[in-house]
Order: sequence, then structure tokens, then C-alpha cells
Amino acid sequence: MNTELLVLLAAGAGGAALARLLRLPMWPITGSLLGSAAAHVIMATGTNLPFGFGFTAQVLVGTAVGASVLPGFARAIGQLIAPAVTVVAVLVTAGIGAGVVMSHLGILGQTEALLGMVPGGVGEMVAAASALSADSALVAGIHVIRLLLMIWMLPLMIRWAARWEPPREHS
Amino acid sequence: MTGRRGRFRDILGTLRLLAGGCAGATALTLLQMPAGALIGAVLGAMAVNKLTDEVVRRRRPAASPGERLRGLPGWLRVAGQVLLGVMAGARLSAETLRLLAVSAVPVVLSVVVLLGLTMLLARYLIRSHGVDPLTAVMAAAPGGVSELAITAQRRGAVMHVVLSIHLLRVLVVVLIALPLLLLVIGI
Repeated sequence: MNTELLVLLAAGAGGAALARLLRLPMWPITGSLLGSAAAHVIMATGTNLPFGFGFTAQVLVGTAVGASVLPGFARAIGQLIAPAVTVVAVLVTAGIGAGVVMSHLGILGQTEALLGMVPGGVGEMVAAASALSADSALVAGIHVIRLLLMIWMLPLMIRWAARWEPPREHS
Repeated sequence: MTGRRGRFRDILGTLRLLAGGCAGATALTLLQMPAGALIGAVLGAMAVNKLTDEVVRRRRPAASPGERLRGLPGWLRVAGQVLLGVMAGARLSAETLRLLAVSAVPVVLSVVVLLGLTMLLARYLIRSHGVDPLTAVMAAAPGGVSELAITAQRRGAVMHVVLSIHLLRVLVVVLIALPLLLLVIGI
């Protein structure tokens, strides 16, 4: 392993630790991205990351997703099948639609627009971008914008939705 | 003794999951499937979980699901995400920043539309399925499972509903939408 790669890794780990302290959304990715980008700019050299690096990252992220599918999952989804499928289908279709529009208008490249706009988990979409040799930093940046907006809007959305609760009957 | 045995079982379970993930990733990479490592790892780990559950249930029918299976330790997922962040950071260029700045307004507008849809979906969950408003918003929000899970738990949402719908969303994107997009438009 060369020195530049070690520096990038150390800067990424340091950035992630700092981002965790600052409570940034998706701190492992945002922090390590900012940390390694800073090291990359300071060193002013292009580092070719070995194939095993991306492969390992994808295996870890993918295994974590697969491992979360425990035996009760099918039963839990079976009980919620109509609402769960509706929610997922609407969100994923809307994300794909937004990506198609953005790439059609020439705002972003097709791969970056689709992977950036589909709400499929930041780690998973950045891993896919990296696997497809797309601009994974851009994809991560778009997802961070989505997460920040969502986190800021969430309290307001919850208050708004509370008005729709049907009144409870008192005996 | 039990503690040591439990720890040994945890390590063995983690290694088994990683072996499954690695085998799936290697198989789909060798088949030259785009994003094969990610998709293969998801499928490999799911297969290992299913097989392990079957085997343990046959040997010890009284074992609870928690005894039979454990997820991947959180720090391993974090390690994978840090590696992805390092890769993205090492490729960050002035062009990336320019594109991010140019696309910021359209991205924000798209997210606002997505959040509007979240509210419509939440209303549907509340009115048609009797879900409480907090759980409905958390379940229909577009992503950030870890961030949402913390908030949902703190505020008292029905966690299994929120987590099941988010896990289904991630699985649908990685195992159905991504391969379809690769196939249809060749990204």
C-alpha cells in the first residue's frame, strides 16, 4: 500500500470521526468524503485506488443490507403489503422520474442523475455509482442535500400530519 | 463461558455473512454484471441468513429468531461507507463541485416534490390503514434509514412498520430498480 493511499484513508477516517462529532447526516460517507477530498487537494496528486478497495466497500455495504433481512421480514411486509408497496412504488418511481427529467434537461449526466435522485439508501447508491465508474462524489452530494432537507422538514411534516388523525371516540 | 461462547457465535455468524456476501459479489462480478459486487453481496448475505435460519431451526426448534440470526455488526457497515467516502473524495474534482452547484436548485425542487408526495402517502396511510401520523410520516419519508430510525424511536413511532417499509425500499431499489435501469437504459 503506498503512502498516498494511507494518507487518504487516514484523512477519510479522521473526517468521518469529526463528522460524527458534528452529527452530520450520513457521517461515515460525508465525513470521509470531505476528509479524503481535503487530503487529495493538499497532496495535489491523482491516486489510483486499487480494485479491491471498491469491491470491499461494496461487499460490506451489500452484506449489511442483505443481513438486515431477518426471517420475520417477509411476515412483517406481508401484513403491510398494500401500503408498503404503494409507498415504495411511488417514492422510487418519483425518484427515477426526477432523474430522467434532470438528465433530459442536461443538468446532470444520466447515471449521476438517476443514482442521485432514486431514494435507495445513500451508501447503496454511492456504491453503485462507484461500481459504474460514475461521479460518486456528485451522487453523495445530491443525497446529502436530500437528507438535510428531509431532516429539517421532518418536524413540520409530523405536525402537519397530526391534523389528519381521525378523532378518537370516548366512551 | 456462555459469554465467550456467545462472542464466538457472533464472530462465526459475521464471518458466515461476509463469506456469503463475498461469494455473491464475486459470482456476479465474474459474470460481468454492472454493480454486481453490490447486488451479489446483498443476495449472498440474504441466502446465508435464510440457510442459517433453516439449519438452526431444524437443530434447535426452540431457539428464538434473535438466537438464530444476528445482523452484521454496525462498525463493518460504517467501515464500508467510509471506504466509499474515501473513494468519492479521492475523485472529487472542480467539475464535480461545479455540477453540484449547477444542479443544487433543481435537486432541492425535486426533493420538495418528493416531500410533498411523502405527505400524500402519509395521509393515505393514516386514512386508509389507520396508521398513526408519526409512524406514517416516518415510514413514507424518502430515506436516511439510520437518521429516521433514531428520530422515530425517540418520538415513539411503531418501529417495525417504519423499518420494514424502509428496508423494502432499499431492497427494491438495489435488487429491482437498479438492474432494470442497467438493462433498459444501459447506465
